[in-house]
Amino acid sequence: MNEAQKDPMFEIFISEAKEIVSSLERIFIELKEGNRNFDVAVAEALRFFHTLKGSSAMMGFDDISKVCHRVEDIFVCMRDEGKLPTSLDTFILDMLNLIDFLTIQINRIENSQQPQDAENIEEVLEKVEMSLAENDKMQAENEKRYHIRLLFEEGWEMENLRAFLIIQNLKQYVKVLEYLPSDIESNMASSEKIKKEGFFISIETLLKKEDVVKLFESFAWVRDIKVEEVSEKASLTKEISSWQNAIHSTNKLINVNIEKVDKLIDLIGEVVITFSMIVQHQEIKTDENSSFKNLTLQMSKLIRELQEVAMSMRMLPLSSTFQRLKRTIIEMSAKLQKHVDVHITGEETELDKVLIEHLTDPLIHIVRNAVDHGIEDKEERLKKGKGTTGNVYISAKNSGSEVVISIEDDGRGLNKEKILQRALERGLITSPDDIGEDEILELIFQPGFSTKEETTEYSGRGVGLDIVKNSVQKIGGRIFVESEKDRGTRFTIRIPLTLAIIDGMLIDVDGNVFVVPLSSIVETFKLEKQQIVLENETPFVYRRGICFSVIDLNKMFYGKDMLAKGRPFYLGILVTNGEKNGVLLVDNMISQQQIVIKTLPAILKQVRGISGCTLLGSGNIAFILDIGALLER
Amino acid sequence: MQEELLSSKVDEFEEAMKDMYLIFKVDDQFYGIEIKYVIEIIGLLPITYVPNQEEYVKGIINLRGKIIPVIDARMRLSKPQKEYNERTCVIVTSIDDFLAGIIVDHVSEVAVINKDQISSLPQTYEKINERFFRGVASLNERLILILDCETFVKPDRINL
Repeated sequence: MNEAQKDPMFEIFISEAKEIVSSLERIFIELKEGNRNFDVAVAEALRFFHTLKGSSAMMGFDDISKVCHRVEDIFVCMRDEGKLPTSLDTFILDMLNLIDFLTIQINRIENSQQPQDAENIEEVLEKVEMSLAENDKMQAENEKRYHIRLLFEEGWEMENLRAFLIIQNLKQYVKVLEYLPSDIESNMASSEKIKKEGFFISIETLLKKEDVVKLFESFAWVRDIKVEEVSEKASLTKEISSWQNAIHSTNKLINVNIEKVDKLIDLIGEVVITFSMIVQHQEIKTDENSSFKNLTLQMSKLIRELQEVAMSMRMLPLSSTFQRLKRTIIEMSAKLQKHVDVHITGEETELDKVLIEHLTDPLIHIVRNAVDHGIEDKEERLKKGKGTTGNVYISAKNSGSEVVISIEDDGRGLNKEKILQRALERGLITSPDDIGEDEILELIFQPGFSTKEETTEYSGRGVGLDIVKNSVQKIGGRIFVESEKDRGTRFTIRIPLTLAIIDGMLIDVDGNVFVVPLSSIVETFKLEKQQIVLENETPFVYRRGICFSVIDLNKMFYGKDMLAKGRPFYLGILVTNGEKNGVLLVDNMISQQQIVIKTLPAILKQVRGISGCTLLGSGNIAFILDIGALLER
Repeated sequence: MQEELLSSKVDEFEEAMKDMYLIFKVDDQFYGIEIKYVIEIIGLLPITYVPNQEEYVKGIINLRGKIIPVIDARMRLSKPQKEYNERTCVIVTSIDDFLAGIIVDHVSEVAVINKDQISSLPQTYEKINERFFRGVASLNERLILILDCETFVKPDRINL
């Protein structure tokens, strides 16, 4: 197995298999939501299973190829003999089950673990086969409906008129139901649209698919024809979007090893630094040649653009993560017999790939809680005067240099009394007066708050919200919760766009440059000496009615007492990690800029309060402050 | 065919490097490290002090965009400190893909020292002066202490 792992073929297989499985998942979820035509879905899924069967057989992973083979048979049966499963919903759940099985299997292969037993999944497949056999449906010789996409040959212009001629012609042979764009006669601009996206037609006819294709081939100027047989209810608009998705996803993506991308980003970072060293070079600086100045301006613009492109390569849309969340909810609501609608917005919001990987599990945990504990069952909802169907809203949006993800349900909300009681029982607090009203909800993030006693199948698999909070913090994010009784609960997660580059404020500490991440700065201000109270070795600052502890960076890193420098005033930076605040004492504030984060060399001892370092334009090294660790002290 | 040729070249290369040592001087003593660890020798670059480190870790330097730690050989060998001068240089070493610089008084030469030329040190000596000595060799009437580069560079507590 170890041999195989080094093999590039192996890597390709794993990444391809993963892609196939996630495509399959998307197909079945869209099918479930009615966004996909059944026959189209079957044909597409069949193709994916077929590919997976082939590649896994080639790599010698027989358990996967066997299962795929069996599924393929089922799908061929549905496609060619027109058999349908008895219940579409059960069928989809079974298929999702199968996809889980494949995912685990692929992950195990990737980590060179023993594959899991295929017995369970074989039972599932047997069930599906049985349901097909029972439901042998007769297909009558009916008129069939087809959706067609035409692409015209380029360079002839007037696409709208040609499309119109085709429609006129077509009407002699078949029943034309609809065509898009529909305003080809009156709107000349529709010509551009056809050029870009193609011309879509929906027809009904007794002709077979091959004959329909032949019919279209007889028309002039047509470059590409795509014909799909669809069910009677299928709408042309939905079809178009699914076709377009297919066009985008198949043609425009390549797989690149993330290490290569990281290397590229590193190199560009070095180009940025070297270039600024060139510009600041003594011999060049003194040269008053303006054409050179223009060139450097242009060059720095190009480099900045290059950097942005490279960074964007690490970014992925959240859509596949949200799809998994949706899927979790669909499965759970089916098993718990709750009706839940999922509303997703902003799934196109992009986030660094590594961050997405770290976020998926916490998010799944939160939606599980929402469906399991948040959403009430039908009767209870009716009593409260809510609709019988619960709602979960998942959204993402950009906000400055952060991405904000929120998960909201309209369920029963968190019960503050119960939380207090539980916290008392677990010894997290000693009396209810210990904490303020607005801090009660925060208790659910405490380690040891959730217990295994009440684990249901879905939530609380020994994982508490404290783990969720931890994982979010690990990637530099923050999590908040709001809740109102019988109105619902909302979790909000704020995460930096990327780990590799941050906006920072450069500060001077005893002649050394440090970087404070801009996202953790609340405000900066001048501090008069008398505003600082020094008592018991732990100085604090009184500001607008609140006391903040003072973090003396000089003392912490260089063993020099800043306050002993006897300056008439000091510069303070109020920083926060979302819950705790503190004031950093610095010698000077230098500037604000984007910095590329580098890790400290591994042989150095970890320095508390420093999370990494970066190279400045001058070639000097600056340390990046770890505000979270500084405030924990 | 080509691959075989290449791998035999690599073997030859490694064979040739096997008994080669970079000889450098700290205080009045000569030391040698295996040449396979050495990437390059550079002049002293500005060092950024890193808080909370062992005394002999002087800090980090920016070597063409790479950030690498530098250790002071004098301090690592418990020799008296001396100001750096124009002959001071940094031997950049690579151990399992991580880079580290060693600050030495000056580098003298690359020499071939066969295994049988290296005699082991008295046991008491090894105990007192840490574990990074492999032995001693005599070369052109100089005594050269052979250092184990890995233990010399790596801090005692980490297993990398």
